[in-house]
Amino acid sequence: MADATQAEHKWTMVVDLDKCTGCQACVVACHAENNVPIRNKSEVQANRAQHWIRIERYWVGDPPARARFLPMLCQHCNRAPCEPVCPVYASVHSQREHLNLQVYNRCVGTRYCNNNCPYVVRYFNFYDPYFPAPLTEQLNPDVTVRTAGIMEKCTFCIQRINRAEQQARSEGRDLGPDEVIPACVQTCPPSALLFGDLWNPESRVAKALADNPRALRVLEHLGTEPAIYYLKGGKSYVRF
Amino acid sequence: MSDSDIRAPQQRPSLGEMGLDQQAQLERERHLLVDARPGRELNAMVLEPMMRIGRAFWPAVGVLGFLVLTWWVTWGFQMWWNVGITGLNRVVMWSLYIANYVYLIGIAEAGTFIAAALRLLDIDWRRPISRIAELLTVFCIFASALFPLAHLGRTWKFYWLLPYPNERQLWPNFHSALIWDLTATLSYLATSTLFFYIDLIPDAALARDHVHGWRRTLNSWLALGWRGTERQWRLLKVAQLIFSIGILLIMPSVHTVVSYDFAMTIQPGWHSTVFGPYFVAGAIYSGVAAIIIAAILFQRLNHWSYFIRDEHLNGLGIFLLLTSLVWDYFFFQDFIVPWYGQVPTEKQVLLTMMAGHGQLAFWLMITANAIIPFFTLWWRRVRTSWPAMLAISILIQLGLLLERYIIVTIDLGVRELPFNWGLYQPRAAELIMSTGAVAFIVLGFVVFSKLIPFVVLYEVKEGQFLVQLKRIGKGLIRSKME
Amino acid sequence: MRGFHDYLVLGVFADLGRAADAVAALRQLGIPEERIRALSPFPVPTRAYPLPRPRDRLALVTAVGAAIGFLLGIFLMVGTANLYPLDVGGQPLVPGPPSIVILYEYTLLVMLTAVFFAFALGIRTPAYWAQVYDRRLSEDGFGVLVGLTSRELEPAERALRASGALSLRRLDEAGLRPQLRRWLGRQISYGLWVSAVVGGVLAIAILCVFAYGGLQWIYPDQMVTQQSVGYQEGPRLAAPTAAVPIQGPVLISGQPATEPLPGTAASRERGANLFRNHCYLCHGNEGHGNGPLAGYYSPPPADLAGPVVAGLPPSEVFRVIRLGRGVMPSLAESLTAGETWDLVTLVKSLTQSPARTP
Repeated sequence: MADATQAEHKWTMVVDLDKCTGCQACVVACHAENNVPIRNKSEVQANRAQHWIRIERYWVGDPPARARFLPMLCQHCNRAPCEPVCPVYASVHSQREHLNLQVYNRCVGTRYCNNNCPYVVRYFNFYDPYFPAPLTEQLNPDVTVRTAGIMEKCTFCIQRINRAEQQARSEGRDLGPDEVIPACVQTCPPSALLFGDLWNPESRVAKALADNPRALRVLEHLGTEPAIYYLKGGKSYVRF
Repeated sequence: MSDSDIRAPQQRPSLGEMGLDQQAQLERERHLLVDARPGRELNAMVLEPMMRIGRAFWPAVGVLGFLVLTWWVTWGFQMWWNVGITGLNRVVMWSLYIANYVYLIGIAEAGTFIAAALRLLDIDWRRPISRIAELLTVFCIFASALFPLAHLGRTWKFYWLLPYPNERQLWPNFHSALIWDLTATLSYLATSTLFFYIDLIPDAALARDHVHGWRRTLNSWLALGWRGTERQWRLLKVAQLIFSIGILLIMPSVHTVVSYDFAMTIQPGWHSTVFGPYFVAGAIYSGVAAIIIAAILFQRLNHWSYFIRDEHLNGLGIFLLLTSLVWDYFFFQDFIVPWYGQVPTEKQVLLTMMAGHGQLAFWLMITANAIIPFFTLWWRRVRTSWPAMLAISILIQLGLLLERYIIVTIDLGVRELPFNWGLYQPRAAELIMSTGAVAFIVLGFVVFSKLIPFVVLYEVKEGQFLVQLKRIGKGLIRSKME
Repeated sequence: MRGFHDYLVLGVFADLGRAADAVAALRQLGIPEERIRALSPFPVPTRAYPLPRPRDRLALVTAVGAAIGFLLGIFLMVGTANLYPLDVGGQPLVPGPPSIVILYEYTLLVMLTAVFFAFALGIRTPAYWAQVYDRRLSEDGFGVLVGLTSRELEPAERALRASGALSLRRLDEAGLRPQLRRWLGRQISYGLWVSAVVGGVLAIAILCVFAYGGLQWIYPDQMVTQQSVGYQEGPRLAAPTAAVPIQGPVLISGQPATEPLPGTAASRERGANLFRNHCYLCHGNEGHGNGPLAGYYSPPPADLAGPVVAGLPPSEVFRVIRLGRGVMPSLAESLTAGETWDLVTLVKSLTQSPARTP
C-alpha cells in the first residue's frame, strides 16, 4: 500500500517469561523514551511508584523460594474495561492500530479507568513531574510531558509506530515486518520482549505465536482480550 | 402526663373506663393533630424561634463556619499542590471523597422519601417534620455534589462532563457510569430544591405576614405573592402530588446510579448485582437516622415538644427499624454469595474486610447498623426516648459511613493480581474535608432556621382540621376526614 | 381575577362555615363564580365551598415535559454518539441499558421542572399588581374575595356582613388607571417568564455559535509549552562526547560517523540545492553568516567560509549538522545521512573556493 499511515495493523507484544531475568532494563528504557517521571522515595513508599512497565515479582514455593517475574504493562485489550468508564472519552480505542489510546489533554482525572483495569496498569500523576535542569534535554520531544491530575499508561510507543509509518510513506513503501521497535523491546537483553504486527505472517511475533503451546494471556477469563501474549513453559521448558 | 400513666400497664385503667374528658385530655397530650390550638398561637410557636437569636447561635455559627472554611481552604490547597496531598495511591485511587459523596447523597435520599412517600401514603406523623427532611436533602446533595469535584485530578476542567455544544465538538461519554451519576445527582438536586420550594411557599407567606425587618423582605420574595386562594391551594396540591410521584421515581434511581459507579466495574467486591437495592436501602436507612437527629435537636432546642411528640419519634423509630431490617437483608445477600462461592479474589476481599486491615471498620459497622438497632428499636420505650434515639442514630450514621468507606477503599485495595493489593490511610486533607462537609450541612440548618419557618404549619393546621375526636359508645377515637 | 369589575372586596371570617355561607350568599346575588375566591390558611376540601373545582393543566404539562425530556435524552444518547463516534471497550455506539438510565433521568428532570414552572405561572406569580389581603388569613381566618361592579357593591357587602364577616377591605379598581396598572403588572409578570425562556434559548444559541461558528475563545492550557526541547528548538546543551544516540550513527568527535560519500560534483550540486533550502536563511548566500535571519541570533551564525570551519574535519561538520550546536538546531529530522554528507561536501567546497557562489 502506498500510504503506510492508513494501513491497519494488529500490534501485539510477546513476553517470554522463560527468558525474563527481571533485570528491569525495560523499565528504565520506558522512562527514558516516554518521559515517565521518577517519583521520590517517600512517594514510592506511599505506593505511588510510576512505571509504565513494571516487573511484578511473585515468590513461589516454600523457602528456599523461587522468584517468578511478570512484566506487566498496558495489555491494550480489545475489549478494554477502562474505555467505557471514562466520562470524557479520554480513553478510547484506535480502530486502525487496535490500541487503547489515552488522550492526555482530555483527561480530567476521575481515575475511574484504573479502578476498572484488572491489571492495574494505569498511573495517575499525583504531582507535577520534576525534571531538574539538564534532564529536560533528555526528554523525548515526541512524547508529551504530562502535568498533575492526568492518567497515563503504556502506549506501545505509538510515537515510534507513527514515525515508522511516516518514514515508510515518505519512501513510498509498506512497513517492514519488524520495523517498529518500542523502547522496552529494544532494550531487553535476553530478547524476552518481542513486538510486531500479528497480521503480518513475516513478523517475529506471528512466528513466535504460531501454534505455540506456551502462549497464554493474563486474566483471559475476564474477557478483556489483551494484545499481549506471555510464553510460559514452566519447568519442562527451562531448567532453573 | 396524668398519674394513670405512671403506674404499670396492668394497673392503669383502660381507656374505656375513663371518663370522656379524661380520654380527650389524654388524646390531646399524645397526638398533635387533635390538640388544635388557635392559629395565632401556632404561628407564634414557630416564628418565635426563627426571630430569636439565642446565646448559642453565634458561637455555633463561628465554630461551624470555621470548619467549613477549613474545608474550602484545604480544597484550595489541593487544587494548587495537586491530589498528591491525599492518601491515595496507585492501587486505591478512590477513597474518602467518594465515600463521603455516596454517604451524603444517601442521607439526602430519605429526606424526600419522608416527605414524598409518606404524603402519598397519607401518613400523618410526617406533617411537622417534612421541612426538616426536605432541607436535609437539599443541603446534603449540595455538599455531596462537591466531593466528586474535589476528587478530580483537574477540577478546573469539570465542565467537560456537562453535555453542551462546545468548540471541541465533543460530548461526554454516556457509556460511563459517572455521567449517569452526574445526571442523576443534578436531577435530584434540581427537583428536590424545587420540591422543597413548592412546600415552602405558603409558610413563607405566613412568615411574610407576621414578622418584621429583613426576614419579612426575604420571605415575601420567597412567597411569590401567595395569598391562599382555593385555586392556589389546588394547584399546590396537584403539583405536590406530581412532584411526590416524580421524586419517588427519581430517588431510588439516584442511589442506584451511584451504586453503578461500583457495580459497572469488574473489580472483585464491586461487581455485584445486588448493589442497586443495597445502596438504596442503606441510603434510606442513614437518611432516616439523620432526620431523627435533626428532629430531636430541633425539638429540644426550639422547645417544640408541642410539634414533635412521642408519636413522631415513635413513627420514625419504627421506620428506622424497618429500614434497618431491610439493610440487614441486603447486606446478608452481598455477604453470603461471595462467602459461599469461595472464588479466590472475592474470598480475599471478604478476608481483608473481616480479618485483615478492614476488620475494625467492619465489626464497628455490623455493631452499629445491625446489632444495636435490632436489639433496641423493638421497644416503644426506646423509640420514644430521645437520648436513646439520638445515640442510636448517631451510631448508625457512623456505621453507614464506615460501610461506604469499606466498599470504596477496602474492597478497592484487593485487586485481581496479588501484586496489586494495597492499603489506604486517610491523610489530613481528606479528614478535614469530611468534617467540613458535615459542618456545612449543620451550618445550613442553623442559619436557615433563622430565615424560614421550620415546621410545615399549613400541613399541621390541615391535619388538625381533618382529624377530630369522635365518640363511639363510651370511648373516643381519632377519626380522619378523607 | 379576570372579568369586568370595579371593586375588589375581601371579607375575613372566623371559621370555614361562615365563609362558605358568605360564598353561597354571593352566588345567590347572581355574582358569577369566576369573580369569587375563597382564601384559607391551609388547604380545605374544595367541596366545602359552593364553587366549581378549579381547573389546572398540570397533567398536560407533565406529559409535554416528559416528552421533551425523553427527546432530549434520545438526542444525547443517539445524536451525540453519532456526531462524534468513538469506540469504547467494544460496546455498541448507542448502548442499550445505559440509554435507559439516561432517558429515565432526563424524562423525569424535564417533566418536574416543567411542572414547577407551570405551577408558578398558575399561582399568578410574581404578582406585580395591586392585591388586597389580610394578615389573619395566615393565622386562622378564612377569607372571601369578590370582584364587584359598582351596582353589586352595596348588596354584596351587606351579604358578607350578614354572614359574619370580621372585617371588610375594599380596593378601588374602577377607572382606566387602575386597569392599566393591572394590565401592565400582568405583562411584566409574564414578561419575566418569557425572558427566562428566551434567555435559556439564547444561551444555547451562543454556545452553538462558539461550537460551530467562527467565534473562538483561546485560553492557555497547561501542556501547550513543554519542558522537553522540541525539534528545531534551541538552545541545546552539546551532547557529551561518546554519547550514544537512539537512532543513527554514533558520533564520536574525531572519528568519521558513517561512511562518507565521495565529494563528487554531483554531490556538491545536491548539496547546493539543500543549502538553499536549509542553510541559506541564516548562513547567507555564500555561507558568510549573513543570511536574512542572521541578525536574530546571538551568537551570530558561523561564517562557513571562514578559517574556523575550514579547520574542522568533515566528520565534525557532519556531527554539527546532525546534532546542532548552541543556537543552531539539529537537522537530523530534515536530512538523511546521505543528504548531510552532500551538505558537508558543499561546506568544504565553500572554504576551498570562496569566490565561487553556490
